[in-house]
Amino acid sequence: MTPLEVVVIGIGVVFVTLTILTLSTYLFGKIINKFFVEEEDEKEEIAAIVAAVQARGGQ
Amino acid sequence: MFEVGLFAISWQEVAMLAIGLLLVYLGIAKKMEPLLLGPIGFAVILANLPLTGITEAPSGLLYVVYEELIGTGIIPLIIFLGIGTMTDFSPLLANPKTFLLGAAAQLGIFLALGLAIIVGFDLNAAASIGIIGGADGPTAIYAATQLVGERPEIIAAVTVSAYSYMALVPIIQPPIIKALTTKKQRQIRMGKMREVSQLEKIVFPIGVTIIVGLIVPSALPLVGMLMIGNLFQTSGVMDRLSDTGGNALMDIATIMLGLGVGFLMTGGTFIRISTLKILLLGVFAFATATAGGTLFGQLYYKLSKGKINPMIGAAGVSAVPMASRVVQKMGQEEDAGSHLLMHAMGPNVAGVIGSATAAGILIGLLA
Repeated sequence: MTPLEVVVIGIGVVFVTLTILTLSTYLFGKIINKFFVEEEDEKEEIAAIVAAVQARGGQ
Repeated sequence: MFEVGLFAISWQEVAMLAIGLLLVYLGIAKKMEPLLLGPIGFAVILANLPLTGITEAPSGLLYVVYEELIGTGIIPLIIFLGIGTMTDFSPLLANPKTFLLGAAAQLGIFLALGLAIIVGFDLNAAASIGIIGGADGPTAIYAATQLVGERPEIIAAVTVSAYSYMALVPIIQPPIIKALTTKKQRQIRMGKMREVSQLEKIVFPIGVTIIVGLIVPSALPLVGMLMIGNLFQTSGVMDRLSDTGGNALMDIATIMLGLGVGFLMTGGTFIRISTLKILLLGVFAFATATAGGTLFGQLYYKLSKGKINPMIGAAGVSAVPMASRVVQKMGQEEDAGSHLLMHAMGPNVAGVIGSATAAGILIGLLA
């Protein structure tokens, strides 16, 4: 393998790998935030409201 | 027969004793990477006192430490686990496009590799030297042991160069960043980053390990150890492992690293013209890595229509958190209200993954 081949393959694979990581991070971030985190947040929000209402003696 | 070391010492050993003392001085008095330069400097003194047998095969202490722990790559990998426990990938998760700034800053590795070939090194040695541009000590040592395992003179110079320049990031980077950015660009403020959920932080190390493992298998030891350490931290239920990995285990590994590197730095192996060449090539690698990141930052500046401060690209070298601090400091010099630290941490931690990936590629191609 020549030095030029090593340089070209090296730079290319680094960029390809980190591009895939970039896209995957975006994708998984979107999926997680859309289908998992918001739900958890909503549940926590509802639980907090219920707790606050109950603390005031309401139902 | 009893022999007095004083009469057996060579001029190279005397020179190395001076270098050992200098490293201890820099570590303690100047606080330059004291946890590393302290043990390395002292180990250099140990290794260069004659007739002690401490560096001799098969049972000399420094010989055993190097052969069993450094030469096999175990200690750099354990240090990577420790780094994982201390790394917060949130800024990268909040802004994943900064991953590519961490890729751009690896250009220094490959440019230095090319220059090393031009000045007469063979391909494996040149690749080891290039990794200095990754600005990551454990990665540099690991790659060097895999690429030029039988040539301690190269490993020693690469290691010293990598760790020395990491400590010199605040001196090396600013002039390059200034030369490649305008005052107006350096004044750009960047907005608040989004909150990152714990689930994202937990999925990230697992996902990165699988993706990198599938694309660059030879990078998996480094990236995998970094990510398992990170999972200890982000899971929230492995605090004991995270604490041990980031403190006691890392300290033990650092002591062993110091002793092992000291073994490499004996007069016969270190005082050579090639060492000087490697130290100079290391500066070139570091400088071009900074330039590569900053120029890619310029591309982001253009694409974002001036919303991204191009300086954050310079943090794509993986010297965490020094490179981010440099960007933060330079930003505040131009605008006291500017807070770029967390924005620079994205490319900075991406650079750790980028340099480990680059090292893995070179090992896969050449080892």
